[in-house]
Amino acid sequence: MLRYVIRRVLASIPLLLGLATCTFVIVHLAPGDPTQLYVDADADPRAAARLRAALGLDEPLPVQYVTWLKNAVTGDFGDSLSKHAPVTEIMAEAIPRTLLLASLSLAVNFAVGILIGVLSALNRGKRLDHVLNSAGLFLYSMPEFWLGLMLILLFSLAIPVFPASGFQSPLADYYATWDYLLDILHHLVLPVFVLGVASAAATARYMRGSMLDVLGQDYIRTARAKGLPESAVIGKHAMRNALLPIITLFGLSIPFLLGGAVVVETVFAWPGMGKVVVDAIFTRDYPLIIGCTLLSGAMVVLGNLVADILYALADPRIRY
Amino acid sequence: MGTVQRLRLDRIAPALVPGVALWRLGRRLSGVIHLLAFLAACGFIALHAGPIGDSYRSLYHTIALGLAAPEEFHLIFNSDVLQFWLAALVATVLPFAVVYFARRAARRAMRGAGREESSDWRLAMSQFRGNPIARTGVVVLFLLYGAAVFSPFLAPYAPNAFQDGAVTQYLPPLASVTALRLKHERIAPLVPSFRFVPAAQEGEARALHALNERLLSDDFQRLHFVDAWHIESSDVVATCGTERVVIPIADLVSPNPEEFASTRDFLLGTDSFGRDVLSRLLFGARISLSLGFIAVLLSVTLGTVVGLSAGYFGRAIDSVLMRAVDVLLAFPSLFLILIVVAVFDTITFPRILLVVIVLGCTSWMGIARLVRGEVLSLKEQDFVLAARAAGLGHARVIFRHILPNAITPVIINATLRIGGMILIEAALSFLNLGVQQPTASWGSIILEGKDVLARAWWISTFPGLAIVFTVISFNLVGDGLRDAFDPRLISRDARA
Repeated sequence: MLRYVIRRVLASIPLLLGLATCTFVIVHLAPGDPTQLYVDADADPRAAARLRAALGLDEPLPVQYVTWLKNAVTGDFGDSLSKHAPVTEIMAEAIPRTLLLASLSLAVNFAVGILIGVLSALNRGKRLDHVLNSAGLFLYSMPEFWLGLMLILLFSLAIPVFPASGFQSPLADYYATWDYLLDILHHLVLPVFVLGVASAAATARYMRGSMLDVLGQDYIRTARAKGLPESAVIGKHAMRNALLPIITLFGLSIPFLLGGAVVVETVFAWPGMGKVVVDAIFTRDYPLIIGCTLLSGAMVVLGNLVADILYALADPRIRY
Repeated sequence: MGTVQRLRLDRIAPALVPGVALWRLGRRLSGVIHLLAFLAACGFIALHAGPIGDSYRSLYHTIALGLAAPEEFHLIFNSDVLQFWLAALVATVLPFAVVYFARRAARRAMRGAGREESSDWRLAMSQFRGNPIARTGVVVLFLLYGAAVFSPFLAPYAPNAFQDGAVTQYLPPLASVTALRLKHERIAPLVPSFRFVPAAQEGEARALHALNERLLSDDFQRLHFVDAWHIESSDVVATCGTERVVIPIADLVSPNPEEFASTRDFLLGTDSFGRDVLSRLLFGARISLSLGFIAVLLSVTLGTVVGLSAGYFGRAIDSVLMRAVDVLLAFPSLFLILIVVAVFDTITFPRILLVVIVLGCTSWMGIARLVRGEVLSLKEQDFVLAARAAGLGHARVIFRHILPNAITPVIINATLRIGGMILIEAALSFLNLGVQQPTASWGSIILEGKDVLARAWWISTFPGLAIVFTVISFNLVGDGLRDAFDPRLISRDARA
């Protein structure tokens, strides 16, 4: 098992390297250069030249690449152009907030998705199944940002129960610890609902299919035939096997979650990675863009790795 | 004599009026549907005969002018009129298409009553037709695409027509506004200089300009929206919000109040500029619906090429291509799209085209994996081995033997992807990285309404609903296709 984990970890290194190279190449293929946005070259050509030299943009591309890679490996992504702070510092502030949002959404996604998937598989063809399927299709076909706006319309403007935007109340810094946490949770309800429940629809679809596949297997018939109570058949024999493909889905849903976070954070003005990326893109803040992309790529690779390892742990038939 | 004529009518009616033959053959429902579709298409043409005629005349004059004076042509030509030509052409083709399909259905009904449908494709298609949910999806999609193509005729106003002043701003859905009809445009329209056009073609150019002006002119220029008005001697005194406006009666279309005062309806309300939301929604449909489609087409092509090469040639090509796919899949796709759009946006390049290309180029990886899997299993099958052994070249084996057998799952996958692509395009427009103002797309209309949600909920709500309906329909059709082509289902039905 340990050997398998080590091998998988090693295998993800070239993946990350490829990712880094791709981002670097795309960003540096861009016509024009970022100094145009920050220095008026017509007014003072020397200032532009100085900035270019300071950023290392006047060196040949391969040299820039090697320097950048060397720094990146040591965790130094340079300074943000628009925020005048090290990229790592900006990301260190934003990442916990996005992780909070994303992990809660992931938990809601799988809890709700698995529950609904099992429910509709057990009631296959009945009214409950149809209702859950239609609701799922509706959610699944909805733009996340629009769902967010509609929820704001309903629950912040029409019936003001949840805050429409932000991470905490204006005076939250003066709250007691418990109130502070409650305040953040209060702000989390709508974004987590949008991110979690919308993707739960997809999870429920997979879970339903997987559960139906398992329920048709011979060993379920055997379990029923030997007189096991239905709860044991479903809980022990069916569920555990049906969950296996869902573990893979767990790893695969991380990139979607991060992509969705970009949009949802914009809608709810949530000060996380998504907002940082969008701001960075509009200000052509290349070091920040590269840093964020690389980090989210790393999260995706890590997610897949975790899913693979969990899969190997959960399924005793898999031996590596 | 009478019998002869009746006989002739008997023979002619089924040939001319679609649906009659089907009715005779016992397919009554199908016959009625074809007949209704035919009548609807003819009715549509009759209803919009004016603009359709103008569109054809505009097309004719454009071609004539383009042939006669290709150098000066661009001075007169306005690319906005293209959408009218397309709508007019489609509207004309529509009744003929109904006739064609009715005849084909009748021929089938005549031949195929007792014939066994055996091929997988036929079996799947009949399975698909028997699926009421998928059929509903197809109908909704037809209506949506119809609305998009005919938007120039259907939209009550031009998508960007607005009038300053407080009267038309943020009107709620179903609002009606009093409009005073003016004799002349409020701002005199720009007349292009005909000086550069060769004298022989000047008449042609003027005719074309007048036609295009008529097609594209926005109604708002000849209207003055007011809250209330009354006549004071030779003037109409109107209130527009807090402002008081005096319009001489001589400037109105007629001195008769019943003729110069009219009302205009805004079914889905107006936005912050006072533009009609329904019109923007209809015009936005063209972008939202076509972008997803074209981007999927691009990604399917790319994915098929990569997947085919990797699966068929194997070895080094396979490893290189599939590692590239792995790397690209590790990007959170929206991040990748955002970066590429942002980075390449500086070129003077239409943003819409850029978005399509980027969407297509960042979403082919799944298709490539799918195709590779199919090809790997097909490659070892006897008919492919036989084709190779018979000395056929790679190209022939790929295009004649492998591709046709691998394409079905790709088509199903593509249908399911279009919905997702429409969602991504909407998200891009919402982040202000999609189409640029003032062009309407569903995502950009939602963005326009985002900051005034408390004041005007309708701006963001309706385009979102349009997206939901479209994506649901694509998903239903995709699901229906997948069910219809699922080999397990086919074998089960064949056994039954």
